[in-house]
Amino acid sequence: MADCGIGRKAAVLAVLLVLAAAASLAYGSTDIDLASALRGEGPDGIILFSIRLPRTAAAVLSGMALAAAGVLIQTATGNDLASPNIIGMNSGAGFAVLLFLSFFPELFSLLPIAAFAGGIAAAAAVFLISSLTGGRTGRSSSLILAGIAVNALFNALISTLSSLDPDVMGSYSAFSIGGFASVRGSQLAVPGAIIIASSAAALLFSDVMDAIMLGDELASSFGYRPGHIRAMLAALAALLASSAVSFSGLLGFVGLVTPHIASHLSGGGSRRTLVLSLLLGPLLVLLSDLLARTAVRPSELPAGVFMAMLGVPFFIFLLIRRARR
Amino acid sequence: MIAVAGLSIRTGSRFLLEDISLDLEEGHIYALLGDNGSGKTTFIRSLTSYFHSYSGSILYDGRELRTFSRKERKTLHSLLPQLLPSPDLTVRRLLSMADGAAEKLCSFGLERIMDSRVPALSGGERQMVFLALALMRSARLYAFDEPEASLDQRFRGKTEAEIRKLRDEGRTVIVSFHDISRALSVADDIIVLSGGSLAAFQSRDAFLSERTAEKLFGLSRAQYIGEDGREGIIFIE
Repeated sequence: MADCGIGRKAAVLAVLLVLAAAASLAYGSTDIDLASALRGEGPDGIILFSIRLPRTAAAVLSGMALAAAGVLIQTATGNDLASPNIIGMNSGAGFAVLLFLSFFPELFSLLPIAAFAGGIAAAAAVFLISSLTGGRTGRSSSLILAGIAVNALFNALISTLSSLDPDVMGSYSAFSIGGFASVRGSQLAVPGAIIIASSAAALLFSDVMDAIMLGDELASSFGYRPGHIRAMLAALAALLASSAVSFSGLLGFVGLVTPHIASHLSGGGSRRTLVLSLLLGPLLVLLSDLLARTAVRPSELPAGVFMAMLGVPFFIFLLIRRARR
Repeated sequence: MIAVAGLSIRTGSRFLLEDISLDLEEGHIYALLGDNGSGKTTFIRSLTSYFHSYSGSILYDGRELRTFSRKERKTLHSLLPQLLPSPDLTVRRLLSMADGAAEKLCSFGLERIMDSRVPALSGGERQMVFLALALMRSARLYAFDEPEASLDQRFRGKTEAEIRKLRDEGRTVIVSFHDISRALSVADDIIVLSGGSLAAFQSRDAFLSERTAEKLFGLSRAQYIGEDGREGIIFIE
């Protein structure tokens, strides 16, 4: 039953995604005249092309990246409670941003690079510790434990920096909630290219992901090296999540909840789950951002707030449903 | 032929397997016996590429196991693990990993679970699904780690029939057992491990005539004649 109609589900999600993207372009904290905006005329044209278009693209890209990263991490660790945060991404990126704000406040435009570097560095530390403690087959629990340790360390460093320099807390708090209010088009080119390439790579690895889901013994008997595969999938996830964090801030929750909804819809299987996640993640982020912009017009809330408000109840619903099955 | 020579596996200072040497021939069923912790699972894992570092050698037709490429390893060994995973896949998707595995599951009379997801299966159903997958992979060695543990009588019979069929097709089969009587009803040769070392490696007939079970496990033998007149042996404490 769950197997049939996967194409239809993907098509429905794709249509919803296009509609949400269109809505994200058309609506916002101010009303614009679409006809003149589309001709690129006046302030409405500037709002459409310089503000809403990059913002919409950013929401779509970060949704793709975090959702795909979630699927990859959950597969790599064999733990469906794992998300990009677990490999230290958020705390690493957060610490780097805070460090940068404290010491180079004038270089504000380089923040995305700091976030990316911090996320990758934290993930690398997690992999290193995990490979030292996981034995030769790279047990998945060692990755999670290493993640907890690295997260704790970076969170302590974040607290230290923010106590020493309370001025940076304002900028940091916007970053930590996550949102797209200040995204510019030029920020998106590099992370966008990484996200699209990494998502495509993840799709190519879906057979490998199915094999790793069979556990280390069976995956080995199929010729795979499970430890290498886990590291590769997690590295791909780190690349995706760091790219997203660099322009969207710590929008972590989508990476946890999207794979669950997607696997519920897909009936299992890495390729289907990944395809649906790549549609569902952007949809969830776009809707959250749209609500964030329009709910308290003309003021704005960060998208991360609505992400949690939309995602958490649904997530809890899925957990309860699964427990009863 | 699979030639194991001086095989040792260790974690830290503890030997999981120590200096195992034996040859496994085509067209034979080898039963692997031993107490818990004797190294049965480790031995099966070592034959199916679970360990990439081991000392000694494991030669598949004269070539060292670790020198095979990933693609080659895939068709070298097929495994039914003792602890079965519970991947979030449908049975149909899982069985698509080996040609004919879905048909094999149907031949067990289990077509009704074809569209179920693996985590929703009962222990015995899951065992038969992974058995079907293991049986239909093309491989030189078929390794089954306690395939009967969670099965009822009917599926045990089907499992044993399939294992015999593989042997009759000329494959090498190794099966670990908890129950010596079951092992003797299936196997041509018996391998006994004890504390990671090879305690006995002999034909079924030699195992019985030399009273190896009595010596190694301290068991007593009971002979019976079934209602159909067939003679059998069971081992009792």
